[in-house]
Amino acid sequence: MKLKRGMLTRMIGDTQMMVAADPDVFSGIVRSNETAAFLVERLKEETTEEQLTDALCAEYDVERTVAAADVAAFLEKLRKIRVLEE
Amino acid sequence: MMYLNIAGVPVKVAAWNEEIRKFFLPYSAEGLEAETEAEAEASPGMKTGVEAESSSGMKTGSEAESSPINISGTTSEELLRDLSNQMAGRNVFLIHGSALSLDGRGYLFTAPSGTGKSTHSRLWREVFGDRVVMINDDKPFLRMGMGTDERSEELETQIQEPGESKPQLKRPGELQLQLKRPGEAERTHGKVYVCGSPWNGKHGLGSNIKAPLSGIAVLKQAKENRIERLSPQDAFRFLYTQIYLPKESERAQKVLDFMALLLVQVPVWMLYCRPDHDAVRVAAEAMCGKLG
Repeated sequence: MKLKRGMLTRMIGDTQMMVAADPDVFSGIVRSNETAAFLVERLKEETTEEQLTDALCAEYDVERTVAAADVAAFLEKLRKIRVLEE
Repeated sequence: MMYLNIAGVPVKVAAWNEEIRKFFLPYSAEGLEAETEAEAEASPGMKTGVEAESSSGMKTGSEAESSPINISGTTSEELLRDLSNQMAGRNVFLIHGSALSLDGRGYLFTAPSGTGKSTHSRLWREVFGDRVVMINDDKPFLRMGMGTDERSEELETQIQEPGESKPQLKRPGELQLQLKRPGEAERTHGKVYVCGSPWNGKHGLGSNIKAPLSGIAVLKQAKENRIERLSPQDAFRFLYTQIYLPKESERAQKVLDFMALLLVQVPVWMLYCRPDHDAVRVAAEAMCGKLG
């Protein structure tokens, strides 16, 4: 899976803003905290849920089951707003 | 060919009618036109060669920055779309709002159409009189720094040179003007400027001037006048809908990068307001400091 083409991000202070220049791709703003932004960055390249969980565990001191649940919940949110290509 | 200078950027218009010519008149760049025509005369009969020669004659390194933007369109709206897209590539950004200068400092009021931006600017003119100069009532440009462009100095020069007249009596609590010496290229560096554009709203209020941007207020109609500072994240949310975003990703990314810098440097406020003079007092006290 991967973020749709045309999704753009920029850090504003400690918050990552994700938008699309083309409203046909996505109209709105996704505000992500540091952890979510970490996942968004990885979604700029083709990746899997498994790899995202691995990356989260490597970066943060977190139990794998907790990380997996967080990744799943986050991906669900991104799917709901249709910014993922799978 | 019509030569213009808009927000410090040289612009060429290939085709125009009388209406368009009048529309752009305050932004015409006579110097550039004369210069290029002289070049054309110097190489007669080489029409295609002239273009290449004039662009290769640009100083190396800054060619992309200093070469004119070519815009085309049959209406001012079409020309605006073309220009805004290309301007973003030069890090100059169109925003929807009413901009004015008070004592040489720039302030921008933005909001969705119909909220009362122009009305609020008019109220500032009523309260502060000729201390206010309208920059643009609808679509000003924002940019980081003004480089060494001389036109950027006009507004400040006008203020800091009292000439023969007596210096103005300072009222208690009046804002101190920030006086700066002209001719220092770096002094505009890293500062956000708000610049006039020919697209100045249905009342045609604005002028070909620039001012350092000292504050932005997002307007919201309310029963009581009240102002609060927005966090950069909330400010982003409101400004994002009013700044022109090119559809092309690379240019759109420049808008986002500019906004990140803008939000660090320029305070953004939410102004809940009625259309009255008290709203100006509330806004100016927060945005400009105490004003007698």
